[in-house]
Amino acid sequence: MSDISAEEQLRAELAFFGRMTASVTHEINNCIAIIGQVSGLLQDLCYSAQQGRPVELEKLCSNSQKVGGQVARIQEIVKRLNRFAHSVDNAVVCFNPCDTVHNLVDLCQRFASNRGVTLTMDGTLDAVAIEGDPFCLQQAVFLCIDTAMEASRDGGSVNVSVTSSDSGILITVVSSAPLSSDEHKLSLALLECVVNKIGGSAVLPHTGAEEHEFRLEFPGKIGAA
Amino acid sequence: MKRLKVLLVDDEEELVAPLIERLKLRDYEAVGVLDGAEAIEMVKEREFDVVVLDVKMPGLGGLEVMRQIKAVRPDLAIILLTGRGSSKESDIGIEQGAYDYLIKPIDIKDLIRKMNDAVAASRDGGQHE
Repeated sequence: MSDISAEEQLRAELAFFGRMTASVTHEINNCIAIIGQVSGLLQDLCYSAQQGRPVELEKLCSNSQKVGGQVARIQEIVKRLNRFAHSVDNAVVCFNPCDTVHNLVDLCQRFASNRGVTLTMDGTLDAVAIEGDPFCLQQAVFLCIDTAMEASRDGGSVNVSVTSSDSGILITVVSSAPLSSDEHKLSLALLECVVNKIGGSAVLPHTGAEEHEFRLEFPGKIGAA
Repeated sequence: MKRLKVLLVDDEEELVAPLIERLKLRDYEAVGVLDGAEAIEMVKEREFDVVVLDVKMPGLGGLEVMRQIKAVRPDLAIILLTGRGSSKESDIGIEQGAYDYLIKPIDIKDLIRKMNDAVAASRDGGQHE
């Protein structure tokens, strides 16, 4: 059993929330930076036209569309963050774990991209519900994804899947790379702690194997979405 | 007066493309690449006066790219682009030879002023104070 104190657990929860928020705001900032440059270019082109220089209509159209594209990108990112932020509203709630994990995987794509890792997700369970804390579930899955991506790095891949099991749902996180011995010890101890807190069980990967797999199982009801 | 040659490195193609156009409209010779490895190759093959380099990129990060560029072109002026002010990475970047950094979203006037200052400092053989 882990020896992580309540204070360390609280700190880890805040750190998780902070990492997600920081990542998303960086992504939004990138979109704003793009919109700033594209609108600046449109202003430059307008100025050129005012000076009597020819301006390609195609250039005006394509850059206007880019602004719309970035606004749509921001809307999608904000929707994901908003959903994540509301996951702390209730400690016990009935929720679809597949949708929740899907949203988390979408939020993790930037971490994956920065590490040169391909992050994918399989499985959709429409009619499944579990009762518990969706924030803790996401923290547990994130610890698996983060550890797996850290081990994989440049060119590696991590796959997340949500399937039904005898007693509820099974979430697996598989990495194409071996897990080194000591460096992930703290994450794994914390993971056990979080999974236990929400009534689940975890099978953690062995270090040194060619690829590694996390298996998290949570009690739930299939057909009770 | 000689036109300044600028290499812009950022993985966001939609940021690089309009910025290149805006610099060209202001009479700079600007080219852009979307990853660090390509930037290093470009610097080996062509002459530039200044490199504007994003710190956070997939694959080779901006600081590693800067180290490799400095290894082949120690006097080449480099300006870092970062998503936040006074980050650890931008501080390390300055320590390791970047002229300065700019925080995204960037203002074209700030970029031009900083590029011109960086090139002047590089020609004087000095760094930013």
